[in-house]
Amino acid sequence: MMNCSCSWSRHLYSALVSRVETDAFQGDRRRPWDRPTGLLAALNHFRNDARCASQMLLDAEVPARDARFASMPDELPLPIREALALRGLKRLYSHQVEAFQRAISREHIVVATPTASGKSLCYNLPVLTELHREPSSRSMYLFPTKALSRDQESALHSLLRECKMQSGAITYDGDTPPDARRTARDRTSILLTNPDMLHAGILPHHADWARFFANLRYVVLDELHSYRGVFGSHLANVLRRLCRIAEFHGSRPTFIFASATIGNPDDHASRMLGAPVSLVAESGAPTGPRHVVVYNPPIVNSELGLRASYLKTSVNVVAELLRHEVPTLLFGPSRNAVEVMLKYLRDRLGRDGIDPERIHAYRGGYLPKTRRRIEASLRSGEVLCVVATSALELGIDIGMLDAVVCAGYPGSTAALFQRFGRAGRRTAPSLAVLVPSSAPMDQYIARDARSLLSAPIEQARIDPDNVEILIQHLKCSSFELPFREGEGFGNLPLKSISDVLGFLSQHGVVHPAAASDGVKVYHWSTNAYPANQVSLRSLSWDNFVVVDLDGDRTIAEMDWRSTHTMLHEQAIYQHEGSQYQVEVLDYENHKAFVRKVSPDYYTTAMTHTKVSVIEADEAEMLSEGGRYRLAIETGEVSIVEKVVGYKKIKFHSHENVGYGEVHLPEMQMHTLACWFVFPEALIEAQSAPRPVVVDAIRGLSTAMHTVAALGLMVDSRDLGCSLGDRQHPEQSPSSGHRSGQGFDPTVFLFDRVPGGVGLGPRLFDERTSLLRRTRQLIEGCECSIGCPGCVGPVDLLSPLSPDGPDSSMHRVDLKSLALALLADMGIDAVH
Amino acid sequence: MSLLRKLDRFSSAGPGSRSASNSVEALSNHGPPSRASATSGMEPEASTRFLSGSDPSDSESNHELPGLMQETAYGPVRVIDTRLEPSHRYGSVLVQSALQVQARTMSMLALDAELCDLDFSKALFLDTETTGLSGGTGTLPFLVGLAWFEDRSLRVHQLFLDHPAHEVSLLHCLLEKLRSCSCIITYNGKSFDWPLLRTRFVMNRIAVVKVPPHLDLLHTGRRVFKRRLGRVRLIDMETHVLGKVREDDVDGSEIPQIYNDFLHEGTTSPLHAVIEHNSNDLIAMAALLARLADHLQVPQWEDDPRDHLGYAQVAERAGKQDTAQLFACASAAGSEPSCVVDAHLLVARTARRSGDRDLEESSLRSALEAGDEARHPFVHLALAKCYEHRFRNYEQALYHAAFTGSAEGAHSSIRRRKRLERKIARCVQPKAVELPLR
Repeated sequence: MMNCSCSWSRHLYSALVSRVETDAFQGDRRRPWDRPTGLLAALNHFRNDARCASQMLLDAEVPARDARFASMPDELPLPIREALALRGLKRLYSHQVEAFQRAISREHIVVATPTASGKSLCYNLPVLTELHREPSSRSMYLFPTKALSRDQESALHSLLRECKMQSGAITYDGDTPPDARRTARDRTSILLTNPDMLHAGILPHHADWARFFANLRYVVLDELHSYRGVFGSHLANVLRRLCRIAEFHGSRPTFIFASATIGNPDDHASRMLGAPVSLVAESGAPTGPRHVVVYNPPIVNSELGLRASYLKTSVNVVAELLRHEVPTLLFGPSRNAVEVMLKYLRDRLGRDGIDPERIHAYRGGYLPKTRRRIEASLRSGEVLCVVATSALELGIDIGMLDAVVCAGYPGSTAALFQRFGRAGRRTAPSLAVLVPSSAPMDQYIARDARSLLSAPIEQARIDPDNVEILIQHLKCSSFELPFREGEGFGNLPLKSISDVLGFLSQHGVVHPAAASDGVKVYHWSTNAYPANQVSLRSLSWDNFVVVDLDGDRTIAEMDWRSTHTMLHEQAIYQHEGSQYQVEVLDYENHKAFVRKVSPDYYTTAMTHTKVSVIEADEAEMLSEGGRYRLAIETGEVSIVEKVVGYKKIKFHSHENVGYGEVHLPEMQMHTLACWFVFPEALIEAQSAPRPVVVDAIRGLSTAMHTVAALGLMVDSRDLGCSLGDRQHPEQSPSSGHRSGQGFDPTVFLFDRVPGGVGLGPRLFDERTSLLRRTRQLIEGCECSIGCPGCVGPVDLLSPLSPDGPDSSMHRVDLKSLALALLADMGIDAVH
Repeated sequence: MSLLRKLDRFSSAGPGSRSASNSVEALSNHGPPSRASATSGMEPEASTRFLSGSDPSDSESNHELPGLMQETAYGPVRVIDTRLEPSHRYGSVLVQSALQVQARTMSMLALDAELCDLDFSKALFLDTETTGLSGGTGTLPFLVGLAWFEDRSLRVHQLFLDHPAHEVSLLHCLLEKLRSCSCIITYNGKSFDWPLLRTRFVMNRIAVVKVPPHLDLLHTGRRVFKRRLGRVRLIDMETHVLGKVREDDVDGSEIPQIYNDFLHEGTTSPLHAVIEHNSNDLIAMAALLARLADHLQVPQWEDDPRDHLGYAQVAERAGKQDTAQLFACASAAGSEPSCVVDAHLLVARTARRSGDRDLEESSLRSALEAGDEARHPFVHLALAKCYEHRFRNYEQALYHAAFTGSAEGAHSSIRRRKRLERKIARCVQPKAVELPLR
């Protein structure tokens, strides 16, 4: 509509006046409709504008890569070839053929190629080929979210139709109606589901799925990189159970994993399956040249070193891209940030005559219908810009956009590159921009922006043999099928299985008895349904609905956790660019009632987290011969998180214009922890002022956290780290070590899973090794005063510095201070 | 660190584990519990249990269980076999009267054509007691109660697992009975007992070639008695339909725990109550079957009008108009306000189908005079149709059409009235039938 009127007026204009204007000044402002559009024009605009250019810390080009094709494999049946030909595919990319050949020869594979390289064909082709050969064969696809299964289901339906195959594909999850469930069990060739459903809904009822399991040929596990840490360890055990059940019904499926770029895809997949998995990583898909830019928000107050808001800076960058008609995806760090940026963009571009409806937000909490609508309008190109949270990181099909802007560093190189991967059509150039925030981590990256391109990609870690997780799944597996003595469970040693079964029978969970052939069999013997007591993810499915009082309709749903920060009474709830005020939060009935308002502010919640010791199970004084001894303990702790109030933040200026109180129940979690109490005497003995020493201890805890997550083979998000104090002496972990001062800094490392999975106690067992390796890590780091790789990024302008920011003292050397602390405790350099 | 040492960390094996509560107690009473002692005691303890479990018939703790161990080709299974006297009554019902049941009657009541030509004297009553109530492959039927008629006596034949390992022989015994029966009769068996048994057959790799027809008395009974009883558990049926009150009955939700206690600790005494409970369920099913069929022969004046309406509605769905009308009339004659309007409406429907327009009209008029005014719009709707199509009395129809809004929706009601007005305008001569306007 708008384009149409533009071109019409352009013709009219040139017809009328172009001849008499040869002497007039030209330029963008003279004829805005004639100004250049497109990605390169936008990029040049930034480069040529002196103010912008100075903020571009990195402007590099990742060269284009040509396509590498391979001819259609002979094994691919004719109907599938014809269907592909209809889609214009006469050849396949080399990695697709490689994956196909290996999968049909029954090799477990993991495909780890970039976004949009045609990964789904890598698993769809072998599955369809098998279906063509043997129509009664079955396959199972596992996706981490319901949205992804729905997405793939409709893609599969069209592919099956084009291949003229009668077989069905159906999504089986909590939303599947009863009739469709029966169809899924009895007839469907391809079942799309999620790990949670497999765990609690399918495996415990496998007898109803006898035909499915008897004919199971392929198990496809997409988004493998998202299964890491505790969640991944759970999934590995669910796969052990799956293989056991498949074997009972007489099948041994081939596994096809697909992963985004991670540091160790084959290793990760092999651990996940407990069997060798071969890697297909050489992508044959072409990519256009990609421009990678790091754009630091300008300094607005040089005395305090304050930078402009990274949200506003991101909005500026995106607005410029949109003015050049570049389809753009903007990633924000939180739901609130996404809504704020959406509002700013709409406000800004409304003035430029761009229809606000061409800019949308996409985040968790939107109703599924809203999400589908936005996805569709993205694919069709109606929408020019989407502001999204990490909800769009996973492989939701949204077509391709030319530019991606990332507001804030998402915490890992892998996540950053995955977001960047969302930009770029096959051969056209694309643009990826990182706008770092003022957080130390972000500014650390900004300082050395160039190394971003060569930064190592994080590895995904799991520990399928974690005892607490293993026991839960051996219980589930015993429920599903009684264990026979000598029977395996994945790659777990037989001795371990019989130990655990002995333990379970001692507790009356299973009951051993001799079968007719004399072999001992462990029968499930309680009335519990174990899968219901094991949650694969530590988040709950519990959610609240948001009801608009005008019109009385549900506009959104919100998970239980976010409800506390986003839906407390008086909060401004932002939704698709509009503001609503929460009038009543009906906590018991899980409903928030909101009314549309147009305030000039939004709210952010203030959360307070407290770790307190419930009971110490074991305690030990570190005896490494140092001058000071560290008290180390392990046991049960409670993590209490409470929203204590909220701030009103004015739109655009981001001034704080008021506070309010919030009265909501605390969010409490009991879990296992290991904690380290630093004696007061040790702190006093340091030459630095006390706050700086406390900062160094915080730095030390960062390094300990890194080492601990690595050693425990968990994701760093699974392990919490917190520096406590002695504000609550009755709950203090160090009541036995009186010090006179009111504060024994205490580093807590705790399981971020309700109930814990034993990480804390394991750290206690490894305490000396943990501290030694922490020292090794800090010493071995190449930085001078501290970096995210060791004690954490050091603020360039530390508020702790007594001499003001201009002094040369302001770079606090946390690194040597941390090493000095370790040395005083007897943790010396390792030789 | 060895796995066994890691296991020491747990004070319990989590939900469902039985030592859990003990060790928590230990914690609070005696300070730090000896996790090590729990472990050290584990091996011998587990192995003694294993031994005692392997040969249960000799074990001292089991000698007081009723019934006999029976050897089969697949192993042993405990059988508790009893026979009721032909004169045995369950509540007010003579149990052997179930033998009088006509297959056609039951087929109609169950709305299941498959039951039509069966020999109900060869029916197999079936009820299971299980180790869990949530289903899934880990739930075992430890007691499978069967009952059938021999001569005029009900024979109750219960198969009990002294041990989970005996399941195969239990299932083969059951399979044999399934082969020789004409159908199975259960209470809620379509959603509970049968899916569970089907799972057990799969788990033990036993093929069930032919599944006998299945009569689920829950659905049949619910259709007839739901109006009167509200809740329709077997226990409700017993109390209010069969007139039987059980004494010292075991609570169904406790049964899984009782069996698990028996497995782990050898406690047998509470099991007697479970076996008794299962046997009573079977007898109650036979009695309920007899009662259901018997009272469908002819409306019995002492029955509740709500039950009559229940029968009438089933008969109507089964296409038995005469029976439906008979029971609906009986129900309408009762003074039960909650069903009298529906009873009259049902009579009117059957009258319409048999072309008796006078009965249709009179029963609808009676419906208007009786009971529940909330149902009146439906009566007006039926009257409007009756006058329009059977009597072609459009004025009368128009009068009733004014009240049908909440029965058929305002939109349809307005259309109906417009159509009637058009018809009235077209008829120069109104029909001769004059009815007084009220």
